[in-house]
Amino acid sequence: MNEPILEIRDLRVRTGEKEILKGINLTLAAGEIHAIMGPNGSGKSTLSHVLAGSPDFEVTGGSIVYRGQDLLAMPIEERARAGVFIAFQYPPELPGVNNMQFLRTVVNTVRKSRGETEIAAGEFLNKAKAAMARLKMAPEMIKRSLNEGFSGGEKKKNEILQMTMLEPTLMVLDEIDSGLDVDALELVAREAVATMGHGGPSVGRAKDGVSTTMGHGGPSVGRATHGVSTTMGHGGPEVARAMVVITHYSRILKYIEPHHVHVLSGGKIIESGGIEIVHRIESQGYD
Amino acid sequence: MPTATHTELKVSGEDISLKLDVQAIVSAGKLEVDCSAKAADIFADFSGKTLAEGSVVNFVMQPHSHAQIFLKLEDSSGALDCSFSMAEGSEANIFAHAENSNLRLRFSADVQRHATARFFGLTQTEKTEHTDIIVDVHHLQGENLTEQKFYSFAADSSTISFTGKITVDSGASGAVAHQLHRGTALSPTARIDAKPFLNIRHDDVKCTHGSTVGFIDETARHYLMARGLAKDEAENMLIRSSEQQFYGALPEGDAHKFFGYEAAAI
Repeated sequence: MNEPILEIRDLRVRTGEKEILKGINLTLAAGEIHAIMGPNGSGKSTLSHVLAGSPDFEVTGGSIVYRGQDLLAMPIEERARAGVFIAFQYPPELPGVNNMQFLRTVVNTVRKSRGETEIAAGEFLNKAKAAMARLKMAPEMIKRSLNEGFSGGEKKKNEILQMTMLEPTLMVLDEIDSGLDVDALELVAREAVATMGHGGPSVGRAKDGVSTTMGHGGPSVGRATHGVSTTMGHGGPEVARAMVVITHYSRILKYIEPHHVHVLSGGKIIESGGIEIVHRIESQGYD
Repeated sequence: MPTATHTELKVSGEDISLKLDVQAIVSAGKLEVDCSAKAADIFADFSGKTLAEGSVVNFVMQPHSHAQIFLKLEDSSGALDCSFSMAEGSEANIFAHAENSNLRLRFSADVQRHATARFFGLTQTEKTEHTDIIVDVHHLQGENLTEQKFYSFAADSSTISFTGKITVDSGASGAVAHQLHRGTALSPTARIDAKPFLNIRHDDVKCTHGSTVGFIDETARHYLMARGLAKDEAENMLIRSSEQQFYGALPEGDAHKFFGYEAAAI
């Protein structure tokens, strides 16, 4: 296994008097995509909230180590600056916060924390426009207030736009597929895969034993696909990434093919395996 | 931009831009403005002034006249009443920014048929300051429009009180009145009171009102922090976003300069 990006050990979480997560164990190596599936109320989104540092949840036990650092000890903003990106299930609407200015502000905040210079306005705009074109977002979306009046699908695309621009190391997509129609789902999945470094704008990834070199302008991404190491992208330092896809449904996993699939139920991971779990859930459900 | 120094002022013509001599208003305690202009921008900067109790500025908007009135009150104190007599077909848009002031600021409008009166306000207090904002619109006839949009931010142990009144007379068919107040307390010891009053005496009208008072939206703050902004940066962005609701309504040009607003460039 490659160097772990995320190690969760015996994580226990509660809100109020109710224990939601009852001992989660999960390890993500560089280059890996993990899917966490489960029925409503199983604790899937709680995990993403805890990774994001939500004050609504109390960690009562266990640990989360992100690239060797104690994630739970890191302030919320430091997690983001260190490369943790949570695509929110319900991104809030922020009237008066201009989408473009917000995006450039956070991109530069993260760059600054990495010791990089601010992104030039022209470069930022070109990169944002290119990503928006891939996501088929209307150009005026970037000029509007952040998420204000956006449809459910537009909000999800905007989350993925942010993810692309921020170039995170750990990407957590919390039910990114909710509110998306079939076409939008594929576009969002393509972009997520491309950000991961799994093959640029085209959907899918290299299978065992196949090495590819693709990318769309971001930093190079080093990854391992079922034990086969490939380097994708062009220019810039290599960045190892990992992704967690949290979902009820199998449909997004047709486009973002996970290396590992976990079933969460009653606050515990009750099963882990490969894509065959997805196929079984698709045909038989969670019962 | 000419400065008007009289206690009675007639404004006429087109594309008028003038600055009121606020010292004259402070001294006399009164200004009567008779506006028949097709388009007038009127600026009044009361910053640093102390206004005696009973200070009034009365605007008589003649039929089909149009004016935009910009009031700035930074580090001001005392009381000021601005009244608007809106004749048929007249329109007045009033923008008021009160900051770091101990004030009682009252706006009132008597609105005739086909007239429009819009009030936009941004109030910011800190330390132990207290500002009262009172808006009282009266639809005397129908087929007219009034809007109130006020944003309040109270820091430290300061207080802001917003009172918004809408009265629609019997027979005022087609009157439209909107009232919105958003108050944000920036510290646990700050206080904002909002008191909406609607007195609707006719059925065929459209009236809305909404008021929220609370602390910084925690969900919004968390979202911004989850994108890398520090807590104070996130809060400042949220405060600026509410201020933007006020500044975004301003016409570009002189009004932006008057309020010292610079639209952020990418």
